[in-house]
Amino acid sequence: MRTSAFLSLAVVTVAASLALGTAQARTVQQQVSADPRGAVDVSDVSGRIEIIGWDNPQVSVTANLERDSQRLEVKSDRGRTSVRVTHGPGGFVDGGGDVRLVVHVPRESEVNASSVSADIASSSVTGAQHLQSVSGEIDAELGAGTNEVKSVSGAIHLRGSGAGSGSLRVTDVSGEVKVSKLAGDLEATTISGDLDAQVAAAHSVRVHTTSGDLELNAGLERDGTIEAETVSGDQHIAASAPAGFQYEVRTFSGEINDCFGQRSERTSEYGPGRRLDGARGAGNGHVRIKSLSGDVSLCDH
Amino acid sequence: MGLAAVKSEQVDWEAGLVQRARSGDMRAFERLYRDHVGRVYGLCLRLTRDPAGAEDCAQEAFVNAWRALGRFETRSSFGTWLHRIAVNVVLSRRRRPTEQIELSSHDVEQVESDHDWTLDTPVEVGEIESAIAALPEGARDVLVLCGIYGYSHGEAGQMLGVAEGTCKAQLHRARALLRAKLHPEV
Amino acid sequence: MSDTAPTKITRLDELPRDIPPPRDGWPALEARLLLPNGTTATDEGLRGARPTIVRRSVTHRSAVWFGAVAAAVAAVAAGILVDRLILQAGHADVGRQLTAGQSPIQTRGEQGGERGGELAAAFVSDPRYLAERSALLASLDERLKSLPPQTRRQVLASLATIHQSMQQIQQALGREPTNALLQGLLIDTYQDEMRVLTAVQEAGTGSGES
Repeated sequence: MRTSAFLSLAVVTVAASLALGTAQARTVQQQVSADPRGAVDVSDVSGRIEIIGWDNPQVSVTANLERDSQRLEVKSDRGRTSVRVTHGPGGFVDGGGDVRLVVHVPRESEVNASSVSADIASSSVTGAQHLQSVSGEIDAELGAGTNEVKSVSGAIHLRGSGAGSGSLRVTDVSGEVKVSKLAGDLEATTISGDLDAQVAAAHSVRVHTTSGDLELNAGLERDGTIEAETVSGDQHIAASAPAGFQYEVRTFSGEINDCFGQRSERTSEYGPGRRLDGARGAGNGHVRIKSLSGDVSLCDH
Repeated sequence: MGLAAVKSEQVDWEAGLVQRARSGDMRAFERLYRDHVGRVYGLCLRLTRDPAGAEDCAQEAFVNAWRALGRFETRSSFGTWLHRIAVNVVLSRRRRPTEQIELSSHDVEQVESDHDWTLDTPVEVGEIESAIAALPEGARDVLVLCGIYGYSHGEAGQMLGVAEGTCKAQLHRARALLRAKLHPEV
Repeated sequence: MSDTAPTKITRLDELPRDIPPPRDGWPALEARLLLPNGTTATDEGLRGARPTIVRRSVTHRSAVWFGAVAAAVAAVAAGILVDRLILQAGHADVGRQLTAGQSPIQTRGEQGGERGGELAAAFVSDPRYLAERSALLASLDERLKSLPPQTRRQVLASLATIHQSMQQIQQALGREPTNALLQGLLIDTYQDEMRVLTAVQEAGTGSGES
């Protein structure tokens, strides 16, 4: 009786597993040879992508797959390695199972990673990185080279690795953006997310938010420029440049404060609008700040 | 002669653009803008010593030029006409009138020989631009218009709204100040 | 500034007469020239000749001014309506509504006569911009459906933020039409909208595709 009950239970369990198509989660590993300076493309819909730079001329992938229908596909051809998770005949169904990928890549690879809701993390990669997600969070350490990071609603946290000067373009529609210890040029845009950036040795810093607040700490090169703009977000800018910089601040209805003891003046006798123009030192750096209704605060580094 | 012929062709070509712009052709006006914005901005920058202010002045000059296109006489130089407008914009933005200096009869003779602008010793561009920027407004205005942009005393005087004699005096003063600043014989 | 060796001169007229401005001022200038007080043709052109851009111009300056004010008021009303519809109804038909002329952007193609366009005409009348925007709006609803729900809500909220900003700036421009700061900010908000529409487009075309 008990045996037959147990067998019945086992049959039911297997049948249920087959019906759901899930079976147990499993870990799959694949490794291919790769060009030390080649490109690596990684894509995942949901879950997590973790990219780690190493000194081996190989791409090694470990994937935790939750469903039988999921397959890990790693291909390498002519200097380009692609890492994808594919789904079975049913295709990807919303909520169709998170996949966690850990991808080791040659340190100097160009890395292109994209996801819908999977979080993306990267470390120890010195090559150019192009990371994009719809709603996943992106947390990356950036090296030299031209880096681009985009998200629609995920938060973006980036930091320079100290591996030389690069450039970064980062765009987020509603997520917050934080950039720290970046050496090189920065172009950062958010619509409603807050933007917080620390940059050194920049020739060009362009930051823009619509309603998010903007916090910028920037060290410029000799003739470097900062252009900062918000519509309604407040701005706190601390700038420095060898031998100093000139600054022009314009707001339509916001307040302007500075650390230099200077007072802003009205741009028109009859309407709103304030301006603050001046120079710190005799250098050729330029700081231009604009806002519609946000308050602006400008200080030396 | 060759230069005059080339300039004549340029004026004719420009006359066509002006005519089209006058009838509302924005693309023609854009062409005029792109051809002249460098000089207008350069003029504004040297007169205002402020890059952001110079951008504003240059923009204002082109807006005013657009509005006044109907009054431009196509046989004269569009560039000169633009510069006049730009100088007007610069002057209108200054808070106080530029100081005028008196010219004594003794100075007049000296002033008449002020057209020799050759420097005995070559000077670095940055150094001379800084020296020009440090000049008092009135002297700087005339030096920029006459010394850099090649206008005569009379033309510069008309642009600045001062007498030709005043221009000559300011030019003399500018040269003396530059000489003191740069040391080489100016 | 370049790092080439400085040049030495012996004559003042060797100094460069042409100094390129730090940025291209034409877009902002064109926007100003097409504002009511800038007129869309020269003074004489308005009175006499047939302007080649007559389809943008309005015959009388006062009508241009009142038309621009009316456009600003209509823009505010339309923007509020659209944002209420968007936020209440979710993503349904957002693209269609924005294309059907209820957008706070009063484009020449979407409005008739003097009612629209003066305040934003220069930028939004560009045929390439209009074509690109129309294409993105046509697929907006489908793209929004493919986004995770939380992301969809945040995108719609961001679009609403942008449209509110446009309204604020347009209202301010109604009082100060020649304000260069406002004009620049307005054009930047249009670019922000395009940025969001493009991000949604890219998000729906295989980001993370498996």
